[in-house]
Amino acid sequence: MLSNKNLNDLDKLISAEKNKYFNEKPAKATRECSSMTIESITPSLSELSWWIS
Amino acid sequence: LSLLPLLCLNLVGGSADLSGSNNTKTKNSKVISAKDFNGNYIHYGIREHGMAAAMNGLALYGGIIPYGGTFLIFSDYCKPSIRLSALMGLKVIYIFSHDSIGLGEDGPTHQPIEQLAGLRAIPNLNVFRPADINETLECWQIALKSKKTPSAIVLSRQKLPYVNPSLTKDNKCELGAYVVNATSQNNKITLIASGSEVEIALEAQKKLKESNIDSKVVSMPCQELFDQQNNQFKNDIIQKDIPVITVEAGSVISWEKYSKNNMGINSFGESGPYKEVYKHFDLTSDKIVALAKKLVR
Repeated sequence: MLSNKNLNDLDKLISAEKNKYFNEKPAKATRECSSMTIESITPSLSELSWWIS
Repeated sequence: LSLLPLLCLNLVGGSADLSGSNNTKTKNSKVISAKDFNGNYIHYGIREHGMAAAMNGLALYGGIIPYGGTFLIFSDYCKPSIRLSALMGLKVIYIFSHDSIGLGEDGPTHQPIEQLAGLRAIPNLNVFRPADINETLECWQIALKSKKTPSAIVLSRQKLPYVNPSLTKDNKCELGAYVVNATSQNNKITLIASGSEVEIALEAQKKLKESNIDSKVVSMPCQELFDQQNNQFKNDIIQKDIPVITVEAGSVISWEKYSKNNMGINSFGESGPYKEVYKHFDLTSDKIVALAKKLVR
């Protein structure tokens, strides 16, 4: 189960990444996008190890 | 995926002998072996069913979110365990790349046709087919937040353009479908597509506009979530008073509930450069335009 705090953090991070890519508008295979998605949110998400309670 | 496993020790990735192709293994993945269980990535070998069954076991154990990859065509070998993921309500994330004839030269043995329809027929399974990085972010977000529904994230081999039209805090994919672009408030036709075919629908929209035909392009990355929305939303997306064309490079069966005008593939694929294969199967903007003109007359 994800805690509410971590859910909020995840939402904020996804939102920030969406902002970034909206400006960059990268053309990529979605298999690459899948890898980029988690890779890009991770450095800012120090609480990831607490996602699961 | 390269940094997430270091921080989220509960995320365990893997692939059925296709790590490099599925993009599931990164530089920070540490492989679990028979001699060293300290890691976060499993080379399952060419054992798709075993991989899916093991992921169910990991999820049932608790504290672990398993994700595993293979080509979409090989989802058939995972199917009994995917069905059990759904039946047991487990948070398992399936990564299925090489999702259509768009994989090109590997040919019909590797080109999925009926696989998307088959996965969509499984109750309590969210099947996502994102069209760009924005949708992929959102689909992963939904999959990670899901409580009792497994996810299949279906991904292209070929490069796709960024299609997201506007920046919103909302997760557009959460509703299953959204309007990518409308050329008027008084559209004459709706074009619905998923994944790689959203690009083709947008190309068709431009050509239709040149012929003074206004249209609306809808991306539908997740039918299951769209079907759960209220009638008002569904009727806003799929207006009943204008024709609808759906476009997806696969069996049209799962689209027949939305329209009678479905462009897809109901035969096996062909080997060749992917743009030529799309042309062979009439999945082009020109063919969409031709059908649209016929319907709006």
